[in-house]
Amino acid sequence: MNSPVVQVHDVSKSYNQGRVKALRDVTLDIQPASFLALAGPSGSGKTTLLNMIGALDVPDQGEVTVAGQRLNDLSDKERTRLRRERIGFIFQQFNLVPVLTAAENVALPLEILPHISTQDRKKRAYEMLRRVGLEGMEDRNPTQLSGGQQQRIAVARALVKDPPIVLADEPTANLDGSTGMAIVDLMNEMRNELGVSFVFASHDPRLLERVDTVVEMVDGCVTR
Amino acid sequence: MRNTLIAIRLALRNLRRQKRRTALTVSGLTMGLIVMIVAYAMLDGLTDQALDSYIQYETAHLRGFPQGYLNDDTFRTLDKLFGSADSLRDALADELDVQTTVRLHIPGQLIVGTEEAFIEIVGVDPERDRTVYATLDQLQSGESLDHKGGVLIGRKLAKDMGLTVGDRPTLFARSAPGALNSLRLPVIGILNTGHPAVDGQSAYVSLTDAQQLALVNDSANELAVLGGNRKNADKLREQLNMHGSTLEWQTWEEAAAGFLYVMQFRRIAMSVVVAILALIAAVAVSNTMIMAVHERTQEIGALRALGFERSMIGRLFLFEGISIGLLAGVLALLFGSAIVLWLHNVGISLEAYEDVQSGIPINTSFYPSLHASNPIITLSFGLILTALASWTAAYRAQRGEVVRALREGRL
Repeated sequence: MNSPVVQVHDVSKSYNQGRVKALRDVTLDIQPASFLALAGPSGSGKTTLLNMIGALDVPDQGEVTVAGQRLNDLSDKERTRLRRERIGFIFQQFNLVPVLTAAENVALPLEILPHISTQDRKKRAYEMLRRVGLEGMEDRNPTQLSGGQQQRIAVARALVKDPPIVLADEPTANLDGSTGMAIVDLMNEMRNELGVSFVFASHDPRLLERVDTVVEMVDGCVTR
Repeated sequence: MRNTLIAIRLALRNLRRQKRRTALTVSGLTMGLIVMIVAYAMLDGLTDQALDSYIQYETAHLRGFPQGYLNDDTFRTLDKLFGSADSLRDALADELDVQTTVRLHIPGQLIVGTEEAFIEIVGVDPERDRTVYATLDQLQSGESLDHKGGVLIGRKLAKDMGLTVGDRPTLFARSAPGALNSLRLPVIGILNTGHPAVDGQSAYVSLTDAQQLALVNDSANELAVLGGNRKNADKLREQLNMHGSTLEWQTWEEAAAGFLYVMQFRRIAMSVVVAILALIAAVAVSNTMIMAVHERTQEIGALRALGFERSMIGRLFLFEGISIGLLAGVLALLFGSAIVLWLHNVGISLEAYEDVQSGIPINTSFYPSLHASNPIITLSFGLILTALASWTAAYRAQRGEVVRALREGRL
């Protein structure tokens, strides 16, 4: 068996000078090519845990290891570098750059990676857009596309740098039911094709039906 | 370098997000910079024209006076003269390859009937004077001074005294020996130079007539020199001193020191106005950039999540602000230069202010002048101003926490 792509060990996190306990002694391993969802009601800590795994936040105690790197030891700059090179993100609001075309949005993570030629960036972005079903829409601006199409661009953007893990926070929340599930199916296909792990934070029951593993969270604790 | 290029590309694209707001900010800044270009061009044109006027009508590049003449505040200028004026003048002209002429300045009065005015009577050698000064040819009416007897007076003096060509005023002065003496000469021409001292307080006669009035023989109290370039006046003075000259030399710059000081003061006053305009523009740019940061908080969070360094986020907004400055600067250069060029061709009439004693030796029109430094300073000013104005927004954007930006939409 491969070593886990993410290891969370005994992690706690609190906000507002300790008044709000967002995570309590959470331990979790995520294997490569997982399709896993962190589920639970609002305020259960799923997004906080996702942020810990995504090197966006640091735990108050415990350890987080992502793609072999122990986050506790990393500086802000090093965590930025880890995100740049090893982690893909998909957001609820898509968060595409409206002044860039679809292809430019997808190529954006490659622009900040060294040693990738302009031609290679373009080729990879076009290929990824083809994979997510947006062939022929490379030069469209995000504002000219539907929500589902925008989220497909976001998926392509997350995958274009071949990360071992993609984190998606409520990726279907801004989409209608069928579009949302089409996006989840697309991500599942990508998981199977590319071997990348997808970790969702969601309370959308249709999404939870489609993932391999559901990690239930309540009040900052993993319950199942 | 690569990250900087990405930031520049994104910054330029971001200018198109809020087109109307960008257009308003750029327009405001462009207006301010146009005002700056035109204002400094007017000041430069005024200075250039005035200095040309000083050199052409009053100071040449360099003037030699008898020792002590410049510090004599008794106005008894005929006490200090140098003799053999013609031979001294010719010797310098031959040896230093410069144009020279001598003048004899006599404090005196112009009397017409019961009217009298205190003036300076200037004796000139018309032929030689024209090689150094332009005074004698700036005629409003009549004819210029040649070897025949006659007097040229300035436009304003003629107007004040009610004189026209053909009238015969009396020139009255104390001669070198101390006796009062007078000459009655016909007005043969009226001068219009724009120089207040020439037009309002001087009468030009031939050197021979002036020497006769002052009762001096082959003497003068000014030896004027015109070299190749006015900037070399100091070097020319060194050469003259090495040549063994016993005269006291004064460069055009020293003679115009008072005027230059006033112009410097005006430049400072103008700079204060420009600084106020700059402050207003800086607030506008700063406000635009801070609004841009607030509107794009989630996007900033997303970019940080994608792996953009904090500094790169800062640069994104800094370059966006600088791009506004660059755009405004270029537009201001185009429109500002066009306005200056147009004003330079048509001139700005000062006829309405003719009777106002400005002390600036320029004619009834002046012409703004675009010095090479003006566009460079304006463009740099625009860029530095917008960089400083964008700094707060850039700092705020890069300082924010990514989790809060994504979740709460605030930095």
